[in-house]
Amino acid sequence: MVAKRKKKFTSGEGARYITRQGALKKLQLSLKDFRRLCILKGIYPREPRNRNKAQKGRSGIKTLYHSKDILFLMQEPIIWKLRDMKVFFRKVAKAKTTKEFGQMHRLLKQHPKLKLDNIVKERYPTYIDALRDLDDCLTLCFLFSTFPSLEHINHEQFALCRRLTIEFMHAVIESKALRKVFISIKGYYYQVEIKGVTITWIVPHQFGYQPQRGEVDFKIMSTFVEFYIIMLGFVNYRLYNSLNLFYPPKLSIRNVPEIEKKLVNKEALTSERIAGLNLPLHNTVLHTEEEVELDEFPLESSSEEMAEAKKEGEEMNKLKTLFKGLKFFLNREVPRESLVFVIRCCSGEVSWDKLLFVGSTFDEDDETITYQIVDRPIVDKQFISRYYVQPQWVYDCINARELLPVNKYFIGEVLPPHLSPFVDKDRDSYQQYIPPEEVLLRNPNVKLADNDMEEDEGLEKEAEGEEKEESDDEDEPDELKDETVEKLQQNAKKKLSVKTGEVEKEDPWKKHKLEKQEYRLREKMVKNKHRRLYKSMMEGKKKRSKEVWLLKKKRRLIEEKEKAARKGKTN
Amino acid sequence: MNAHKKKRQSKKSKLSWRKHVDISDVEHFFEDKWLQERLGKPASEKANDELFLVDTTPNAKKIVTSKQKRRLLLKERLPKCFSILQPHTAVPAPISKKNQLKGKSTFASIIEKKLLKHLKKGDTLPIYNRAKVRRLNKLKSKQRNVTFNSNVWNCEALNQVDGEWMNDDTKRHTLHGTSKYRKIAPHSVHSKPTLLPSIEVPHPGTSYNPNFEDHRMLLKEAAKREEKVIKEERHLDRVTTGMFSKVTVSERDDNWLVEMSQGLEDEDANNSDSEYKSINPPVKNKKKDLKQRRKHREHNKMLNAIRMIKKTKKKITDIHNLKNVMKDIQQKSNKTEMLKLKRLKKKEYTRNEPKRLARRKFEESEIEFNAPQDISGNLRTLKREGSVLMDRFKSFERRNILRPSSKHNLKKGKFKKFTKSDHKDDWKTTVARPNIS
Repeated sequence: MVAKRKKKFTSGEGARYITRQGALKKLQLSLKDFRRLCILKGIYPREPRNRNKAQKGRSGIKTLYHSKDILFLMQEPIIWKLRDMKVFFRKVAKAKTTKEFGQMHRLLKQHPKLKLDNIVKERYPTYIDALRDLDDCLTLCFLFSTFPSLEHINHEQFALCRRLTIEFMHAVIESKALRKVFISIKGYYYQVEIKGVTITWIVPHQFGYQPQRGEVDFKIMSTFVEFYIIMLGFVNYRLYNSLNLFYPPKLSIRNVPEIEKKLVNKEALTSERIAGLNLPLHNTVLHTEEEVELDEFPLESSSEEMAEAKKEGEEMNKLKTLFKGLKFFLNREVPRESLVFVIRCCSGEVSWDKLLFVGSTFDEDDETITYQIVDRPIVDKQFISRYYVQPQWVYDCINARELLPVNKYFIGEVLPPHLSPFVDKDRDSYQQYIPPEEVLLRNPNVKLADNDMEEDEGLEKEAEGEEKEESDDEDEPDELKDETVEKLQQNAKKKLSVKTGEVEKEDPWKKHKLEKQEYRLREKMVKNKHRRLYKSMMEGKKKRSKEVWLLKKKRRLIEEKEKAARKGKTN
Repeated sequence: MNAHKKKRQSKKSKLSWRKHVDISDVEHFFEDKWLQERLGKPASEKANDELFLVDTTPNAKKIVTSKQKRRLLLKERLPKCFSILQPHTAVPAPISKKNQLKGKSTFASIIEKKLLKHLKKGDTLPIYNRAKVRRLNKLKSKQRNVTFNSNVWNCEALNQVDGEWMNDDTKRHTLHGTSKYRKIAPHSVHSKPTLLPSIEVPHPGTSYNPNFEDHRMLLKEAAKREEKVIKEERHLDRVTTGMFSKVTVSERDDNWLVEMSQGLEDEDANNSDSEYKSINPPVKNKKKDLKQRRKHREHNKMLNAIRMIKKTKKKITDIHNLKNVMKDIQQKSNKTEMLKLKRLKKKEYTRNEPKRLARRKFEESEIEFNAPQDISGNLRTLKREGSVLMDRFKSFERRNILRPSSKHNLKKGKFKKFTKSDHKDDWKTTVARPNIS
C-alpha cells in the first residue's frame, strides 16, 4: 500500500496565502466591494517570504492576502449587506432607466447603511488602541471637512467630518492637551497628548478648494473616511465623558441677542456657535479643578529621571496656562480657526470682528485687549494699550512654552524663522553639530562660551592658573593636616570626648572617578550577544563627537583668522 | 261643510304652527329693523344733533356760485367709478376675512413672517434661497441621524455564554453554529503592517518661514532626488533610443529592400540543381549486426570497470585527504553563516521599505519645498505646496495598507456611434440604384 501522495502547496507557505482574485471568488464579491470591505475591516495585502511558493508556482507578482484573514472576512455580517446593496443598486438603476422616478425615490429613501460600530470595537479592542491610531483618522477627517460636495461621494460625509472634527477640537481645548504646533507649507501640524498618547495630525491651509482629480482615488479615501468617522465619533463620546462634558456638546445661548435667535433655528444657532470654538461647553457636573501632582518616590536611583519628569510636568502646567488672563483680538486676515484653537488651548481669551464669524465675545475697541494679531504691513488705527503682533508669535510661544519677547514680531518686522518643534530638541550637541546661531535661536538666554568670551579668555586662563596654584598649595598642607588630625584623633580616642560633628564634604572629582569606575564595570556586564553592537555604537559616538569637535575647531580657526585680519586692518 | 274656526288650534307639527300662528308682528318688526339698518333710524327717533347741524361759522358773505358748489361737492364725493366698490347696504359682512390663498408654508416663509413682526421701519428683509435652505435642512436632518450615544468599549466581550465554569474553547464550541458566534479577529488585524509612523515628522525646512540652514538642507535633499531621476532617465534613453543610429528615409527604404530580398538569390541557386532534397528526410531504422552489438557491449563493460577502479582509488586517497574535506566543510558552513548575516542585514535595511504588494512598484512622491523666491515669511502670503490628500494616499501605500496602483484612469470609454435602424436611409439604395447616397 502506498501512502496517499501529498499535493503541492496544500501546506506551508503555499496554503498560507491567497491571491486577490482567489479571495474575490471565495467571498463572492465584486472587486469594488472587496476593496471596501478590506479597508473597513483593516485587512491588508501581505508580502510572502517565498513568492514562488506563495503563488503556487505561478509567475508574476500578484497581490496576496493571508488566507486566515480572508476566512475571517467570510463570517462578517457586512458581506450580506454588501450583497444586498448590489441588488438594491440594480433596482434603482432599473427604475431610473425605465423612468419610474417615484419608484426610484422610494427606493433611495431606504438606502441601506452599513453599521460599523462592532468593527470599531473589533479593530481597536481598547480605547487606548483607538487613540494610538487616531493620526490618520484626524488628518483625513480634517481634510474632508474642507471639501465641498463632490461627485460620487456622499455629501453628508463632509458635513459629518466637519462636525466631528470641531467636537474633537473642543475636547482638546477643554482638556488643554495641545503640545506642539508647526506651520509648514503643507498645512498646520498639531500635536496633542491625550491619556499619555501623543496624537499628531495635519490640517490643510485654509484656501479655496483645489480640485485634486486624477491623482488620488477619491473613492478609496472616502471609504477610509467612512470608517474613521465612526471611530472618531466614539472616541469623541468617550473623550467628552471623561471630561465631564455633554455629548453632543451643549452651549448656553442665553446671551445671544433675540434677533439672531429669530434668524435661524435653534440647532443651527448652537452649531454655528460651537463651530466658533470660542465658548466653553456645558459640564455635566460642577467643575472642580484637579491639580495632578506628581507623586514623590524616595528612590535615589531614579532621582534624575524623577527630576526630569517633574520639570516636564511643570512645563506642561505652564503651557496649559500660558495665555491665562490675556485677551487676543484677531484681525480678519489671520487664520481664525487655527489661532482660536491654539490660544484657547493655552487658556487665553479670543475674539474677532463681529461680521467675520459667529461667536465673537468682545469688540476691537475693548481697552482690556492685550494683544491684537495682525498680518498686514500697516494698521491705521492703533491702540496704545495693546501689542500688535504677527500670528507667528502665538505659535512660537507655544513651542517655546513661554511668552517670547514681542519686539521681533511687531507689524512689518521681518519675522525670525519658524522652527519645527518636531525635531529632536535635546539632540546632543556632543553628537551632532549645531551652529551657534541655532543654539541662540533655541534658547536666547544661553551665553555662548567659545566665541563671545574670547576677550575674557586670557583673563580667565590667568585666573584659572592662579586657582590651580592655590589648590596645589592647599593640597599639600591638607595632607599634612590630615596626618596630624589622625594623630590627634588617636590621642583623643584615649581621652574619650565629644566633639561637634563636621559635614563630610563630597569630593566631586572622587565622585566622578567612582562613577566612571562603576560605568566601566557595567560595561563589562554587557552580554556577549550585544557586545559587538555596543562596541560599534560607542565607536560611532566617538566618531561623531570627533567630527563635531573638528567642525567647531575649524570654525574657531576661521573666526580667529578673520578677527586677526580685522585687527590688522584697523591697525 | 262649514268649518268652525277653532278657538284653539293644535300647534303640534311645524306645518300647523306655521298655519295657525300669526307672526306678522314679528316679521313686521324685523322688516322695520332691516329697513332701519339700511336707511338708518326714522327721523322721529333720531336725536336732534343727528338731524341738525349747529352752524358755528358766521354767515360768510362769500358768494359761491352754483357751479362752484357743484365742483366742491364733486371734489368731496367719492369718484363715481369707485361707487361700485362701496357696499350698497349698511349690513356688516358675515365673514369679515377675505378669501385667503393657501400655499405651502416653507421654512423661509415662516421666517419672513416672524421677521416682519420685528422689523423696524425702513428695514428690508433678507432674501432666502429657499431651495438652498431646504437642501441644508435636509442635510442637517441626515447629519443629525448619525449619533454616537454609547461607549463601544464598554460592551461585553465576544462569544460570551452564561456558564462561568466553561473555558473559552467550550464556549466557542457551544456557540458555533448559532448567530451569536463571532470569529475572533486574527492577529494581523490588531498589528500594524509597518513600523513607520502614520504622520512622519515634517522636515524643518518645510516651515513656512524656515531657518536658512534647514531650508538649504531640504533643497539639497530635493536636488539629490531629482538628480537620481534624471540619471535614470538618461540611462534609459541611452539604452533604448540611443542604441539606434538615425537614418534618412531613403536609406531606410534601401535597407528594407536589401533585408527583404535576403535569401531570394540562394533559392534561385538551389533551384538550378534541379534535384529534389527533402528538408526532413525519412528516418531509416538501420539495425546493428551481431558483431557490432558485441563490440558495443564490450566497450561499455570496459568503461564501467575503469569507473569502478577510479572510485575505489578515490576512496583510499580520500582517507589521506581528510584535512581537505574538513576544510571544505568549514568553508561551506562559513559561507552559510555569512549569507545568514547578510540576509539579516538586508532584512534590517528593508524593514522600513515599502513591501512589494503588486506588480507596480511603490513610487515616492516628490519632496515638497518652497523655492527661495517663494518664501514670503508671512502667513498671509504663504505659498501652499503639496496636498494633504496625496500625502495620505502615498503614506497608505508606503505603510503597506494600500497596494501601489496605477494612476486613476481619467479617460472615459469611447462611444461607438451608430444610426438607429429607423433612421437609416439605406432604403434609398436598391439593387437598381446602388449609388444613391
